[in-house]
Amino acid sequence: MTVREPPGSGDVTASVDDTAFADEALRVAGLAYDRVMAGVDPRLDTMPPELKPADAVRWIGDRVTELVAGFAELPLDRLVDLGAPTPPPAGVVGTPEPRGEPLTMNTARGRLGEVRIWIHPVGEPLTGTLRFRLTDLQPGTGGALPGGTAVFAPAEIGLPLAAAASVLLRYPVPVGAVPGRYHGLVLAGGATDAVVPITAVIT
Amino acid sequence: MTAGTIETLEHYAELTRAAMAEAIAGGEPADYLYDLVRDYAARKGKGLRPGLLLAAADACGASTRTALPAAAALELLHTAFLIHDDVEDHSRLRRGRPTLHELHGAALAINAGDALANLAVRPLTSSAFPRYRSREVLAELRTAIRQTTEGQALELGWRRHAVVDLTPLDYLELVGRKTCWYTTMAPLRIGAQLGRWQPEPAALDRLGFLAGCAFQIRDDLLDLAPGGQAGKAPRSDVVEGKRTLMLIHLLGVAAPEDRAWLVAYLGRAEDERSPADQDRLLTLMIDAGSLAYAERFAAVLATTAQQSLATAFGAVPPSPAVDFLRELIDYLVSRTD
Repeated sequence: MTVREPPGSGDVTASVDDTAFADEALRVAGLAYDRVMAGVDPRLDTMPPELKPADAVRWIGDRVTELVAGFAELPLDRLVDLGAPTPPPAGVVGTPEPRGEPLTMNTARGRLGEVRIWIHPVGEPLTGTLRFRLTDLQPGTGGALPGGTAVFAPAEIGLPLAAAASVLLRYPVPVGAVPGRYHGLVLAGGATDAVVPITAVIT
Repeated sequence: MTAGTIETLEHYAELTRAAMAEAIAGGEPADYLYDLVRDYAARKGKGLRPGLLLAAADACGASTRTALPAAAALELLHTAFLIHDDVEDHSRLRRGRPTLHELHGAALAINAGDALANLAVRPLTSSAFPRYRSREVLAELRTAIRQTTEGQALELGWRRHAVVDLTPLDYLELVGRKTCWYTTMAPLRIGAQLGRWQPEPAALDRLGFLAGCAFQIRDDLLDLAPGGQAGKAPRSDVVEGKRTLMLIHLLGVAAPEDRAWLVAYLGRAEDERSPADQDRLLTLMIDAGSLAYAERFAAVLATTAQQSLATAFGAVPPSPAVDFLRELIDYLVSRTD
């Protein structure tokens, strides 16, 4: 098998020497490629065409789970239809771009972790207040960290907003916490209900 | 690479490091095992493998969240290989710090590598990673392990028996198994497998092979550059007698007396290869045009790799991920640092 791609993009001004060198290099590369690929199925198995019925059921379940989990990953401003983020004031860390990734809080055992959550007044104005709560932080394995010790500043935000507002989440990491990656949710309640996923990376 | 590409690569690397940290958090005995297991994983590398895997997945329509366990598993497996590889090669430095066996002795380092190879599959067994995907990714990892260990066996065997009658074909086969498979081919294959759009499979494999070979040749050349590479002992390949494309070329074109000296050099133990001998070997390579030969060879493979990229992803919808992949491949095949 050749490793050369179909003709059409070659350098027609290349010298005979260059062409001969390239031909030989690619011939050798082609032979080496054949040796490496011997015994390897070059076909990329795609799912689900060859699934057995039981696997198909699991596949459907997995896709539904992913879909639901995807909703949970949407940032707060997307869920309350607040549109694109406004650049935060200079010197203030803003909410990550709404790319489906959770907010990240990098901190260490015995330290105070902080992350700022932004809320933008876009769409139909809401009235009332928004209050926040952090769920327990769950690790991949092992014990969860309590979310009840988290403090939000300010404790609540009054609506409607004239401009973007933010709330600062402060979380005291227990001294005995096992280092690792923990997952939780910031729940906003009151004038509307919304969820912001958060990942705490504890060292 | 552009600033945006570097930023994306670092973002992928950071996500992968966090997922790796989660997979290897905790455990006892920490002093003799799990602290060692976490050591290399915490040292920052370039993040090329997770970058390729996550970008290929993104380009093919899979989310980063879906592909992240696979990227973490592959990187953990790579880290396990590094621990054993450093012992086998008697390497002193890894990512700018002493190797694990230098810090803790060969026995504990080898044991930590074994443990890490086992922990590498942990991300794939998490409830967040669908079972049908873990089966396919595990199959890819098994292929990567087979290819890598076969390639490593060739290299170690050639050194042990002072094999010198080698050709560029032998070198490319070795690199194809030892480097390409888990550095470029497996990340691209796994990333594509997780998506709903499929690149042209044969072109994708050719891309991985050619880019991986060009990457390794450049890596071997950088080892000979003044000062060597960041985080590695300079000229380590010369000290180890590694069968690089430059060495194989020199063996093929050297004058009889030079070749006889070279064969004797390769037959000696590593600690008997003096700095003066290393200087002579490097001078012979330069005089024989071996470095220029390797540069030229890598350039041919790099050009063809870029053509394979266009073919592989020709039917995949254009996206920033495809653009990132193109830039990353460009960097891989033409790197100077």
